[in-house]
Amino acid sequence: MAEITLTIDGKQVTVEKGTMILEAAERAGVKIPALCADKRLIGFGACRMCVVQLKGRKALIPSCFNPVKEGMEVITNSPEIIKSRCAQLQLILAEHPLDCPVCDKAGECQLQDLVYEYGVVDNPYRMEPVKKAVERLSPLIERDMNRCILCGKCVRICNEVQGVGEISFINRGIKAYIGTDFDRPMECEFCGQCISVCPVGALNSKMFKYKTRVWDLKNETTLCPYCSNGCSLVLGIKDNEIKRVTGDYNAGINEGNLCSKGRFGYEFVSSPERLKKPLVKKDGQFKEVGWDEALGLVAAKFNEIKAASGADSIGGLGSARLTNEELYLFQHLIRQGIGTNNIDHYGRYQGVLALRESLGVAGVTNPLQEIRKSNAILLVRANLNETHPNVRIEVNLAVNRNRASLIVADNKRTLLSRQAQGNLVCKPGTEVALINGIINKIIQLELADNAFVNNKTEGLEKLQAVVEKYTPEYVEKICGVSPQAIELAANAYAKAEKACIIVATGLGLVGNDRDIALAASNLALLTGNVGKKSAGVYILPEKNNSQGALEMGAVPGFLPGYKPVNKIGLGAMDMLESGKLKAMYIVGENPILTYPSSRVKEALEAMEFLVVQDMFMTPTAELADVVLPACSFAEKEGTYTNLERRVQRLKKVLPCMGESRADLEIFADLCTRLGCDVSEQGMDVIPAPDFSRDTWKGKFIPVECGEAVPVVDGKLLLVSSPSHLYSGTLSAFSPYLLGIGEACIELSTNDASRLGVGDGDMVVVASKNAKVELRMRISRDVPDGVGVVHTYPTVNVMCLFGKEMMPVVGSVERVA
Amino acid sequence: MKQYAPKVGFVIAIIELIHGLCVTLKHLFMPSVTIQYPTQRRPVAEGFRGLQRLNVDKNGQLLCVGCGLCARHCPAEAIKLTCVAMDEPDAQGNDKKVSTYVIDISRCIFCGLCVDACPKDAISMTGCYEMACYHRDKMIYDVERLTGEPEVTRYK
Repeated sequence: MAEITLTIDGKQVTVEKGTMILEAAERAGVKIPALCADKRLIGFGACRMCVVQLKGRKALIPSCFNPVKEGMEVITNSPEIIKSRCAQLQLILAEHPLDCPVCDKAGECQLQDLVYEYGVVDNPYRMEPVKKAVERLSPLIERDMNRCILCGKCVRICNEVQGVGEISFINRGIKAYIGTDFDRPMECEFCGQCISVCPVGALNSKMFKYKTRVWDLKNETTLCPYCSNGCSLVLGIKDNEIKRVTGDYNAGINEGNLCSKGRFGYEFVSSPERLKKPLVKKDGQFKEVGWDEALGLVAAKFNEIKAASGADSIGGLGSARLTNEELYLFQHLIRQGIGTNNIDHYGRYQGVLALRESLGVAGVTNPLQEIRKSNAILLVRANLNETHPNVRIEVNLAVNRNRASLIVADNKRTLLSRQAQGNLVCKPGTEVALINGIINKIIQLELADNAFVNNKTEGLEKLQAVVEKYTPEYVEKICGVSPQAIELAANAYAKAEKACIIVATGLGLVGNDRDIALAASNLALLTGNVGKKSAGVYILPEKNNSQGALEMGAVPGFLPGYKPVNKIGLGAMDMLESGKLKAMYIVGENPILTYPSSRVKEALEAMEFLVVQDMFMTPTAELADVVLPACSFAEKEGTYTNLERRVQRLKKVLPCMGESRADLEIFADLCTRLGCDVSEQGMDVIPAPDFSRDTWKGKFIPVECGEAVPVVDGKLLLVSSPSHLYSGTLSAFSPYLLGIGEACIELSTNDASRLGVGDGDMVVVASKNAKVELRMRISRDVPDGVGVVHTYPTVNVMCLFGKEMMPVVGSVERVA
Repeated sequence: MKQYAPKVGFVIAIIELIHGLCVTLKHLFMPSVTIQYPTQRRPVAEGFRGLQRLNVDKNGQLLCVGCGLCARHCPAEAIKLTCVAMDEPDAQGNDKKVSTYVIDISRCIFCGLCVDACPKDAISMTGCYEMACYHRDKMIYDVERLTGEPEVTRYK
């Protein structure tokens, strides 16, 4: 990239070509005021506060959308400029209600700061503003258009960054305002990005409204406890309570972008339902006891059961929300203290582990922010709006700013489908056939990167033998995707210079993660899209420390650092369903509501001894013999590993609630009681992955795909879909988040009219595994014959699908 | 000269005595300045900074909008207030309501900065200077006590 040198207020600065003067000034250390500029957005020039002059010229030019030129001499503070800025502020104030005392923005309002800085005390412009009604009907977001200065930041971040486009400028001139179509309440995903960019108090969070004044808040940067993206949150704390969550452009990997869970899902931390003391069940009733008694009982019982039935009759179920240190110590406790490999977390990690076989490393191949520079993106079963909202931002930026071609392969049309070049709506569970079809087409069109395949991969013959039969016609029969669409996808992906594949994995998704991951890595290897910038395969794990849980060995098949075990233990579902276990130690998981089995409750009730370590009295904890109160993410220290394997630090920003303890302390105490070494000598050294670029070779591992489950007349093919607002473990205790949605099943218009149910009716959804009552929603995005079941914390919809989480045939009937 | 010396001293002493008695005599006929506190009270000067009062409008509603500037400016950190958002705004379109407003008089230094900071003239200083009490809890003044008449112990 060419570099340009210019002078701003006498300071010389060298920036890249294409940089705007505003940004160059910031690099030179010169402050130019701006109300409508944001580093995440393209210059807009609405506020005219950022005007500057070029030496020798009189004209005032806005610096936010004028790019730098070689040898430019910029003046930012001449008397004319100051006069112009004051006049702009006076024009804004002519229409701005000065209700700062009741405005929540006061104290961090950019308009307030500028008016103070420029000393605007009088106003020659007089105007009686038209009073507009405050929009209070939308959940979470309140819009007061009287305070709006029409900078357009909210509209632009919703469009450019989020790709949602919920709000827009309505009307022109003096009647202009920001609103939705026909002034309906907002129905978006409520990420709250619009609130975060508003320079004045026109957009407010209902959760933070009038809670406190911003100058009373103590801001602490820490990590988000929700998805695996690993965003940094800035917690605004007052009186040992989180009052709000904001993002910071300069902190973390998320550039200040947050989703609705991150921004509004903090209520569980100070929930009155939090457990404050250890509980022990005596005669069917929980009694509050001290830590010593509770942990003593746990250790004694584990020892007793170990002596009576052997160590393998005890199992440990961790959570991918624990920190790395806690996960390590937990597996240390189970493996060394108890002496079994029955340790797992229900993280759906098979997809991530599959990359270890094909590409040599378990995890994504490239950093997250490289997605935005990619030329083609293939989303396979990745409804990123719901699973990883901030990865979606990267995809959005690639499509909107880099003109990347986007191919969406999913069971239904997603929000990203609107911008996609190709929409491959395939039958549930047949994604692998689709990818094999694309591989077949690429081989047929001779678009494969032969040099890369010959030098850096092995096993192409095996792949060719398998994908041979996946001709476009065969794939159309299995997936229902037309040959033209497959050809388009093959061309778009294989011809792009840098192309990446994104696959989401997670609790609420179909269970063929491993096959999809292998098929995706085959496709990437074939086209040479591995080992270079902005390409690669992204298998996105689900929870904030899913990646760390694998690396720390909280799985039955690996020790920390993927070292092999002598004897593979039982996995999460096997522990619950095999009936071999006498005692279980469940940490931070709620299998009754989140596991795809209706038999979990019986299995847990049959346990001789059950210890649950959680923040809340979940349905699982109610069955326990001992409940240990754990701390929330804000009350403990540690590290989380995000999906790109970046280890980030979690900070303790609040004191522990009640007598609750950090999980690490509890594990360390139990380790000591069970007689295992917690000193440095007792710990393993986790080896760095053995990886060399020169000798690396990717392996083609062909995968087959059967036909979609046949559907008999009158039935539907049910498939699960995660809801980004809630998975059920933390969000269940955030009332505001729960208020946004509910458990529902989406049907196409045709299916709904065929079944005689209307939008919003309650229906009974039944499969061979279970039966649940849900609300029915008609959706234009869902293909005929498919029912998309959305997850919600209070209803276990997973049990419809059974252990394999594959699509099932089910019936939908209106509640009588 | 020697025989006159004691006489001069004697005369001066008598004159001074009479002078002193005159002052006493004058004060005997002057009005008294001692105020019989607590049965009598002196009016305080204009601008005296005594106990704060929260002002109300003619409907008895607090003028305070809960901006928190008084608490922000209080050097003694004596003021604490919390607000709540009402479901429906009132006639003025205001939906912010002060739920608690507390001044800890044991911390207050009566500097009057809270009054200067208030953008709505919702708080002012009164002439009340009698805040002594037997219990620390009584030094915490809430909305009810700050809007009502100052509670002063009256002796008969």
